[in-house]
Amino acid sequence: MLIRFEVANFRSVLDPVELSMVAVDTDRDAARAVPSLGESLLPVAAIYGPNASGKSNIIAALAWLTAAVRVSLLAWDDEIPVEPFAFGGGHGRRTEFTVESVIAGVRFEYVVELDREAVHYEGLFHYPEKKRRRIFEREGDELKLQRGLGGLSGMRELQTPRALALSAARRFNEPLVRDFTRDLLATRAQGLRWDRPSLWLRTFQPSRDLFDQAGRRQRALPGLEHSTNLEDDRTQALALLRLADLGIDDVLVEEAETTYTGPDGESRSQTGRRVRLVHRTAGERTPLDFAKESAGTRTWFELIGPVLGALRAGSLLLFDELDASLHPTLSVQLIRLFQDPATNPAGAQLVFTSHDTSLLNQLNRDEVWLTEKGADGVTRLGALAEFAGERVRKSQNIERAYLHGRFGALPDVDRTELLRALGLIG
Amino acid sequence: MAPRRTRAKDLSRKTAIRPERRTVVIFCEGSAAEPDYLKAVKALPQVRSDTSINIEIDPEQGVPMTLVENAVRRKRCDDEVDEFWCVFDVEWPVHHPNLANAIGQSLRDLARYLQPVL
Repeated sequence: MLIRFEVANFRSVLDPVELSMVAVDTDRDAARAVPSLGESLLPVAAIYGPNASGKSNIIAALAWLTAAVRVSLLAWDDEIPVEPFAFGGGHGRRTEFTVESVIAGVRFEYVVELDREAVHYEGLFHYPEKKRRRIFEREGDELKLQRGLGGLSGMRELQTPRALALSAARRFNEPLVRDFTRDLLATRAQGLRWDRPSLWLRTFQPSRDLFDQAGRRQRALPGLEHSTNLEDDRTQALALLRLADLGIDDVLVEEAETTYTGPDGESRSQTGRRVRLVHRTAGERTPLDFAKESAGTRTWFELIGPVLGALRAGSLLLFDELDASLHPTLSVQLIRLFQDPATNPAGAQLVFTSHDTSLLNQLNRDEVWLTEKGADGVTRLGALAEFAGERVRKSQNIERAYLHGRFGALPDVDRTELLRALGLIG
Repeated sequence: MAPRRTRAKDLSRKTAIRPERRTVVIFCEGSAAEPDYLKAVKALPQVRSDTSINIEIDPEQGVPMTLVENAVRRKRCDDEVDEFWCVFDVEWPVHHPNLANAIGQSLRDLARYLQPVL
């Protein structure tokens, strides 16, 4: 489970910001006690803030780090595709990430400092007892390994200025490294857009595969690698689909030929697995092409795979703009799936951005984060739990207070210019 | 760059370390520079840090009393706002010959108007 994440100098983030999954109110089911930490961890974190305040960049940073660990050794030939803060102050400074997580009761910490040219510092630590112990640490070209981890000595051969030592370490079968990276790389992101292909997280379409027993073959889905009962997968996926009350009864996945017009204007055809959702209407069942479904139906369908995968594997799901096409009641259902230990026994976590303030009524104060952008264009991330007062302490009536500006992080709507432009005021 | 940590970071989170922001709604006319002036006040760091100001411009070029009426109406139905202000420029477009009297009159009107609410 993720404990906390910290980032500095990434897109609109300049000064370090921290997102913590540590619970403040521990006396509730959703908070998972981790005795070795002496803390409880949360299954849900929600980030609110005005448009362009940097909400997405917080989760994009974590997604970026995950992708970096996966591809740095293979893809970072010419430069590190990091986007530092664009305005004054970002260039010439390093981008820094820290991620801490707990795996089988052991706390891990991974720290990276880099810029476009090189990885300057990197460290992976664990806490087998209360004390921090180095697994490896890298300062420029110099690499220090914990004694007794000789299996990692081959890392030196793979080390280049632009590759992450952790990407190299993954090549050697060291259990500590394997446990940490497996957990980190199980992270999935929904809704984020990347303009560089080298940064894409694996965003294959696992929802389709859950319904596609014939097409499953030996394709590995995150969290579902060990799933032997395809019928169970299908039943659970279908139940989640029906939960949304979209009028959909079943899903058909079959081999089909689709024709499309290529860039040269020629008509082409392609064979692939076609998805059709079966709609139920007064006594009739009609399959409809997936592309013709509404945006909300497509969103819900596409999140079934990542959600079921995360819940089973106990992994982290990042979701940008959870409310973009979902009805608030569906967002609530999704949040509850993660909060409830019965549906989330493995400790999966959901970190999402949203504008849907009605969801604030479903969230505890320690699950809510607020972004604001200062006049300097810098994103600041604050926790709702930092606010004093009765209602925050009791996590009550948060939505109304938020909408009145009690916690900031609201769009600063100014009608003056518009009214002037419309000629309504002088 | 902050010096690198060598020990475990304390994971416990801080709570109740910031006060909620005060909420203020300002009703004003938009015919002169009021909105711009109020925007400047709102942007002051010491104001911004602990106060949330919402400026309501009345495009109807209302007389001061309309602003007061709007404010009173809002106050009746919204207890989440700490303070209401009405801002109007009495020196524009022509300097008022009996400014002091006018203010006095406004204040008396205002007091009478507000009595049932307060």
